[in-house]
Amino acid sequence: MLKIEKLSASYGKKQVLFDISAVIERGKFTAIIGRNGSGKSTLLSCIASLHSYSGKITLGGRDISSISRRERAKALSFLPQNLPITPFTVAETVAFGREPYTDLTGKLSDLDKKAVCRAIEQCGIAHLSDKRLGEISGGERQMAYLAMMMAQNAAILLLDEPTTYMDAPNARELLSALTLARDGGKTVLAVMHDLTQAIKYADNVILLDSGRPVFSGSRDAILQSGEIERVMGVESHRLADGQYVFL
Amino acid sequence: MNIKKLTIFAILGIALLGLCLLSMRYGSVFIDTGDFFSALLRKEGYETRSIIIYSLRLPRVIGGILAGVGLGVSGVLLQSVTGNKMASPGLIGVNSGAGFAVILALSLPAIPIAAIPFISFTGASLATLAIIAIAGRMGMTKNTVVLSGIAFSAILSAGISLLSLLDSDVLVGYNAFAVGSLAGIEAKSLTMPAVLIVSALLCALFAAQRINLLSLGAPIASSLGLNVRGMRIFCMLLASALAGAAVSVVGLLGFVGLMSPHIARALVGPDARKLIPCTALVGADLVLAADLIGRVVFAPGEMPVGVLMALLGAPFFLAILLKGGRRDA
Repeated sequence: MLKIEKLSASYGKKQVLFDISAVIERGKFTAIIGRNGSGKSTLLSCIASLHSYSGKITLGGRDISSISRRERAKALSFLPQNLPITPFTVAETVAFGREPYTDLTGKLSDLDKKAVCRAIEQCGIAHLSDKRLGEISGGERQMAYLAMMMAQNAAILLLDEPTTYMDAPNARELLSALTLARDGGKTVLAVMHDLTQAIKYADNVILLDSGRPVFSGSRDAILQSGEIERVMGVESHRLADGQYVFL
Repeated sequence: MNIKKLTIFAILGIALLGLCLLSMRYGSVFIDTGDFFSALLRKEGYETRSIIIYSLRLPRVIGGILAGVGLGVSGVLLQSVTGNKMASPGLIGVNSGAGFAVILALSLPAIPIAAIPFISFTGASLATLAIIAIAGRMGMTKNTVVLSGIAFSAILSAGISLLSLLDSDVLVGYNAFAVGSLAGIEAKSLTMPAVLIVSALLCALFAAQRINLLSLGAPIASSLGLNVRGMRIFCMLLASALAGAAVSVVGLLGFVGLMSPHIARALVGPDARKLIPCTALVGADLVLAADLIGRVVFAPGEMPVGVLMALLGAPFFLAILLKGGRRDA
């Protein structure tokens, strides 16, 4: 279980997160939503230990800042919004995910190679294995990095707006892969800008407003609370199939 | 490693061996092929030629190999740290630092010429440390490394210009250092650079997989457990040791640090585990080939290797710019 206690963070003198406390349940898909500039990505960066903060983040009761980088990499994996186009192939990129498990030379064991193959197949990109990242589409690149995350095999997957540059079918594919990972016992925590997707796929939701937590709880509870409509300035509509759209 | 890449390494290795032999064979004193091999094997009656080969030409060959390896691998490391394919040892102040230290030493009385290699290495190292300190205060990101390198090098270049204006006599000595040459290298001056370059090369090879991770950018590399800031500083220190030691041997030999990594990347791809050794071989081959051409074509005189490298390197640099420009358009 990932627990955030009284977390605050700043950019220089400008404070952007104020006393955030939340519990990220194990084996659940939690979406962080909020308007632009509400601090969603900063919160995720703090959890990924990429941004300094005050307060406490614990993982299974241990302060995350006291865990070594390598151990942390086995527990938490992070995918930023902007993914680099490196000269490496898809297979080589996915293999980087095994970094926390290899020795200093980075040589992959048979177990590592199996994990890489499994991750590539899990994300449906086996046909792209030998392609360089610069030769594939943005959506395919996103899936390649997701496969790298899967190969990393961390218990918690942190993703910053993973579907931003994807078309609807690719976004659906990626979110389905995340749902499958959740069903396999992984904890997924994703910043999501698309409210419809967030409500459709997430089990729990954290809603931020100007760096402050407005709501943290289950999807059904936030729908009943009307906080999304109030904070985001949208109207929700329930479709015949039970799905919600926000306009 | 697949057969294709093994073949490339074998060809580069054989080319290096061939260039070593040719470099020891050709020079201002003509040695015919039969005599050359007899002298190489130190046969009786060939003592004079053996002395020429082992005391004059071999140090030159070793100096050329060290320069090519040091500058080339330094270029690879800096291109990895900055994510900029135009990065070369000059970026971290190696050239301006060494140049400033040398011209300052030449301006002062009572500095022996023999101390120049040590002074140039010290200047290069101090400049790199200053740039690391400045970039470190700004978060040690790719951009801050590049920008602080450019700014600090500009200050040192201004210092070089100022000192040359104050005392124009020092320019003669400085120009000999600045052009880059393998002439007059002595065996005894190679020990320290050789130890530094070999040690730094081994460290770079050992850290190659971590260097690969830098290309993923700080957020992903950190998430994979890499200390990105520490790795960048480590690479810059290695690059400084490699290039500083190389410069102390051959002077400000340009373009090797830029060209070799690009040629090696085209041959074996971006994986630092193969790229670093390949760049070392390409760098050594390039320097020895340019030096050999400079001696054979311009015999009985010689064209300094730095001039030939610039003649080859500048068009290469422009080609990269044009190719990159078309791709970015």
